[in-house]
Amino acid sequence: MNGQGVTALLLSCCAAAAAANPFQALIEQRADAVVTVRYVYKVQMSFMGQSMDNEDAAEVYGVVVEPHGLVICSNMQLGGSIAMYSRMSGEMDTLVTPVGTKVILPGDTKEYTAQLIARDENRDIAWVQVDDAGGKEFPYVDFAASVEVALGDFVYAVGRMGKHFDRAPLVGEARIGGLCERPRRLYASADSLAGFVGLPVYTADNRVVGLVVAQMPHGADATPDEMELGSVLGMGATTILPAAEVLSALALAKDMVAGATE
Amino acid sequence: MKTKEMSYCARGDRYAAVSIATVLFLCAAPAGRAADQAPLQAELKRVIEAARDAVFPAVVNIDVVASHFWGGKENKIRSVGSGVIIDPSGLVVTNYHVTKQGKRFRCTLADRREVSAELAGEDPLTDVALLRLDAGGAPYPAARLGDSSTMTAGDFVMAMGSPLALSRSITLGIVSNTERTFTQFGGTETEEMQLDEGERTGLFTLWIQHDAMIMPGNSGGPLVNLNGEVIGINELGGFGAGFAIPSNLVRDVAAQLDEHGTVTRSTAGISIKPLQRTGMTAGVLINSVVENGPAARAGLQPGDRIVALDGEPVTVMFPEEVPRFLKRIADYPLGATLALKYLRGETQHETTLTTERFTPDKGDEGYFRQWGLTAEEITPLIAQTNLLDSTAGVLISGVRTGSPASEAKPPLREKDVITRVEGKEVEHLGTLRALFDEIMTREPTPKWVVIEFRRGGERMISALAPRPDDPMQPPRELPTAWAGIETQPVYPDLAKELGHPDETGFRVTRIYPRTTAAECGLQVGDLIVGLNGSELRARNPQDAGLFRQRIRQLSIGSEGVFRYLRAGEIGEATMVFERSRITAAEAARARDRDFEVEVREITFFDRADKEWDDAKQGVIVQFVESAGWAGLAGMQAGDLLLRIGDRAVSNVREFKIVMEQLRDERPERVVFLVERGVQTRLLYAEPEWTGSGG
Repeated sequence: MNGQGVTALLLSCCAAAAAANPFQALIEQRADAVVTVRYVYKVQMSFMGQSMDNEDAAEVYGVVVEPHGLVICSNMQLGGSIAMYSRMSGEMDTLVTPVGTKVILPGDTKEYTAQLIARDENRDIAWVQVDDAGGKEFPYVDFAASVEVALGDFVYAVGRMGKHFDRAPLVGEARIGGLCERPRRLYASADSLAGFVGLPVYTADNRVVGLVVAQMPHGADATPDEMELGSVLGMGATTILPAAEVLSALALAKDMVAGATE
Repeated sequence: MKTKEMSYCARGDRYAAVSIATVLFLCAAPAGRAADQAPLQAELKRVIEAARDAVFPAVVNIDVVASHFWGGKENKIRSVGSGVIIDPSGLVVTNYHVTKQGKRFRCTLADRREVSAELAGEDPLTDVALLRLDAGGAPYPAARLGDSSTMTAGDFVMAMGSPLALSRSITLGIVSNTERTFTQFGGTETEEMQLDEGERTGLFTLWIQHDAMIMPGNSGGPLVNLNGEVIGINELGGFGAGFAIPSNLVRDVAAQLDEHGTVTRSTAGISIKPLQRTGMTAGVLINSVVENGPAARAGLQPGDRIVALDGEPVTVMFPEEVPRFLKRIADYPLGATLALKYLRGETQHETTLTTERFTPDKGDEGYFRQWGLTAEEITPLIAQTNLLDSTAGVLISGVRTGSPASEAKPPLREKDVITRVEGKEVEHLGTLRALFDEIMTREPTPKWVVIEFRRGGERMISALAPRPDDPMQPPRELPTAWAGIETQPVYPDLAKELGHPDETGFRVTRIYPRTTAAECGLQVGDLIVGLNGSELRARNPQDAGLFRQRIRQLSIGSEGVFRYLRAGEIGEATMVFERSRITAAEAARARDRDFEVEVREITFFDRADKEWDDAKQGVIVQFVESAGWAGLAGMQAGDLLLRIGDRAVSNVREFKIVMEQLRDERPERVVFLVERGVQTRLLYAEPEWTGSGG
């Protein structure tokens, strides 16, 4: 057997191994792009001319999508869901504003100051830009190199466990159980990837499929029973926004931030 | 029974005084004896009215704006209490719990004049405070402080003040007890009363208990006898009983507050227990001894019984005698040497004790906004309670959630004692304030501030990243394609009633002016049934959002052809989809910290909803702190701010400019012109300029 044949045999063995157990490869190749977004947010409520405000702090996981530190995460998890707060606060006018955002890389103690630069409540995406990466290039996920999947296909999400567990990488597995066209094009899975909202999903061979998102109807679009959170989540299905939609939203966000369409 | 009354935060309308004396005379009396009693009743009425008239003109309603610290933040509170003028120069006696942490005092006199006042001094231990009215209005009507020791149970008294913020009110009752003290239920030990946690009061007070009705708002108001003299200052009340601080005690405290701004007292460093139910019959039983205090240094121990003080036998048998004994010690000059005889068991001993200053239980407190914490002075009592070995440093009294202090490495916590900042010693609150001000005015603001602190028995160090005060602009929502119309779904049931059972869709309910929708030919009432060749049907409630969803899927600037039904005829309208408009949540905003108000730009939807044309300029009040200067002036969220003084405000940028100018000018009064509903209103603010800025 010549060298090329040995190489081909090795490669096919690796591919077979990865296909049989993609978890290890996914963690090795994707986990570094999963970062912590820590933020303080202010909730202002006004009712009949009287106001009150409060602050709170929280953190979510997001994924770096460009090497200079552009991160996407779930808009709803980032406290940006006005619909959510409006539901909770009833007749009150409610405004949620992040007042301090930081990005923390895995295994890195440094906290990068960042700004929440755009939101998309419809697609459930928020964009956080690191202020000054100091020339550092962040590991990132390129949504342009994506693939479409079909009913029955397995997909995998890469996230992290909580702080208490040193944010160890975690892979979740799901199967595409449905395809939606309304309110937008979405993959759906009956397997819960609830812990991976705001994070990408991949195929077994490590190609990007889309982003796990939460989908809440607009207040004006929803019927009274849809305003109840339980009915929105339906049977507990996970919804995945196809990568092409993520890219489309990213382009709009960058245009908006650059002021190109002002 | 322990009752406690707190001053009441209210903005009630003010009502004229009611002569409650007349109530007495409405009581039924046997018809046959009415003629006999008439002269007596008339005389009583005359006496009551004379007493009322002697004091009532001197009663004031006190409006207080105070800073309270909790949750690691400074919160402004507005409250109302009562007081009485005791000197024509304008000295007003009230309760300390009315004035506590007050930043601004406004007194309304009996003739409805409003006069500013300053704090002359406060005494938490007796809950007495003294204000000084603006000298420009002197001479003021003043009441006379009477001799409270002449009062006996059964004497008529009147309570005057502002119950529930209803100013200039009087109630009538009788004295129930002239030496009320509070013990734990069923016990003999006097209950230690506290205004706030850790702040004792009432140590030297034997209250005059009465049944003239008092309610929140009466705090600090006078209790008046039939001679027209103030014989007490109302402090506590509830369940039909009121409790007033005797005027003899008030007189002494007020004199010291007027002269020195504070009350100087001695302490022996002991607490005592009445002998009742102990089986002992003589002496003053020592309950506890303050570590390293005067009594401890004199060799006294808990259980010792002082039998003579400076050669005079002393005994505290009953709870009512405790405050008298403590006051006797407190009245000694500082550093006085007391000759004591005491029993330990059956053996008599002698010692001398040198008194020390009775230090306040609580000191000043401050808010350090950019660090997100509040801190207070460490008094000897605080040091003792928290097991601190000295009063050096400042105690963190609160940490704001999500603040730099809570995010410090490691996070700072309540009860931590800050000892150094950037290596410089923090001796007391003033030192910390000076260090804080210096650090936060540096250019640029340091990224990290190193803070050394004590936590329990540990000496720790933390790095805190101060957060600049830059107001955050809200992030923008991603723009989407937008049609300048509003619609409602028309389901089959409604479609049938409208006469077109086969045609469901989306009925145009509104067309926004100055949009492409206004020019495309659609009208309110049209039923949109298709878009770009595809049907738009509202079959059931799940389709409610279909119209918007379909639009959002299109591109900004693309054309859409709507198919609609109007008066039974199908038509088409072509519309260019615009970029979605900015909502209130995304509008640019500015916050002014002096006036504690946040404003934002007027949005397209504001103009559409309120039918404002482009000529309407201003900024919309998004948030206003109720006890901030703008809130106190009456500004409300939702107001449209048109003008500040003589300067028009068209947008957020101009608002910031004008507020900056005001900070430079520091006028005594600022007038805001706002539009609220269909009316404009002039709002007058009287700020106290602190320079904290926007």
